[in-house]
Amino acid sequence: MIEIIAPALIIGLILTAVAGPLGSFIVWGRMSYFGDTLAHSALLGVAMGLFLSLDPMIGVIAVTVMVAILLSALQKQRSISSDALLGIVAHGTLALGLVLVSLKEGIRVDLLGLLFGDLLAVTYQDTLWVGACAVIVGIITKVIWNPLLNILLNSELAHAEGIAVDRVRMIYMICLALLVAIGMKVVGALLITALLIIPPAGARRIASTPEQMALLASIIGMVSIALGMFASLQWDTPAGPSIVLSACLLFSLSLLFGQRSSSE
Amino acid sequence: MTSIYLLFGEWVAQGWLPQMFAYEFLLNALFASMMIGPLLGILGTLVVVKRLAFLSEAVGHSVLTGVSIGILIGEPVESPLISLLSFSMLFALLLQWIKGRSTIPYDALIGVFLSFALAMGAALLLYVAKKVNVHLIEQIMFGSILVASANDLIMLLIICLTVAILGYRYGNEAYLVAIAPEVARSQRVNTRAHDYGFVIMVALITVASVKIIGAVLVGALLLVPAASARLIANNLKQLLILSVFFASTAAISGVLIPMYAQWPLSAGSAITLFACAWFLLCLIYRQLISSKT
Repeated sequence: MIEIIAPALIIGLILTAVAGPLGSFIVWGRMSYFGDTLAHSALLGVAMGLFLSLDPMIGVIAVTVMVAILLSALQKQRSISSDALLGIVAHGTLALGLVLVSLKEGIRVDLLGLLFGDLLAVTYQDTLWVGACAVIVGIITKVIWNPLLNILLNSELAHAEGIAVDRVRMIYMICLALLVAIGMKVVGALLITALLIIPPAGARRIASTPEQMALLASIIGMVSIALGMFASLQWDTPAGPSIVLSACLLFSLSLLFGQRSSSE
Repeated sequence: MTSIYLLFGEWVAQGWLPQMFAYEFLLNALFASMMIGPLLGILGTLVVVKRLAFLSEAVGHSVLTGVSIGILIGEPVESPLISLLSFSMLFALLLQWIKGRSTIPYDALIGVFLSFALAMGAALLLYVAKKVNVHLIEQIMFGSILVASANDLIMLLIICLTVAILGYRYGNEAYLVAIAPEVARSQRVNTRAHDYGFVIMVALITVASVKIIGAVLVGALLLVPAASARLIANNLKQLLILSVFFASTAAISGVLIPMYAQWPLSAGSAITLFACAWFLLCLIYRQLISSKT
């Protein structure tokens, strides 16, 4: 039994460990919809990968990075409000991905696996490259941590202090895109947002410094991976949704805990 | 209804219409899309002005959970309407209620709610589908033209009439609240009632259109036509008319064209893509205009 779930568990833990700090920035910077849009576009990535007979993961990384760059470029123009833009890109890429997947003849794609994750299809090979990706993303996050915090607090001040605001933002978005590609394996295209947002949102009530919040977010994420996979094994529930539901559970617990400590 | 089916059947027999109009399900889907288009087009303008695209997407996703709860407690698979309505309503109202009472950033809160609804819906649905029918999941998520029934049409009609009456009575106020809440408040408009009314409407309309478009993509038709209209409209009237026009044409062609051309597409993705095509056209048109001046 343990051999079957070990790769999945490892990938899940690595993913949430990295997702904690990166997700915290999403919550601070109010970019939840941005994360959601990136996640939706991952399906288009899979479809592109299938169409060009590449590895789907390469397709996902390429498309999400492209969407991230495109969005950050488009958010500067004034004619469309940014949430409308995000919504259009999210739905457009998702629909296009669906169409491409259904037009591809001869291959029966496990659509539900793509949308909600198929942890048991993960192999040891996957853990290798996921681990490599995660280490790179982790190191980059460590490097851009302080500049990014400064930018979020006050981007003009950060600019005046000599931080390359646009470049740091771009690096951050590319990291997010990579994370989405990994998360696709674990919880599927529709639920990655959950792993990015819920743990930091829960940690926010308890932590008192940004570093604490990032660390706590990682821990909450890892615990929900463990809980979700346990539930999935025990009661035969689908793994991806169970992980997200455990994260939701931890989030509501943090609400209770946080409220108590604030009223004391 | 039967006389309408017969009428269309006659026209098909006389060769005025393609063969596909002889099918009852297609006619149902067609009538449904004719009502859904204007509904979503009208409400969409408010969504765009209020910048609530993410909220409407979350409400759309909540339908997934509503459907599966309905099937679980034994409502018929084709029309688990009561649980759908009640769950989406509750979801939307709860979200709106918590909005004013929590320190969590609003968008993160929506993200949490959205993920919860999706995960819950997916978990229940995967469980239910084992018992019922695996294709059910794709149908609910991405829409299908096969499942609209005469009852759905009646419900849609009722919702249409409600929206028309409310729009006639409160439409101006609603735009005032959306564009300038402070001014509205100073004129003693109850903005809070408008906010709640708005999320209820979004929930209602989402539920009504979910069968054709699907739970995941229903937000698209709420957002994309109105956003496209906003690109080229000069005033509110144009915005409304264009938005309704874009939404209706996208909905109707999304139902008819894949059927006619026999593409294996779900109705929801076809409708979304047609709406996105309008958006691209509007974008190009706007670029041309601005480059001239």
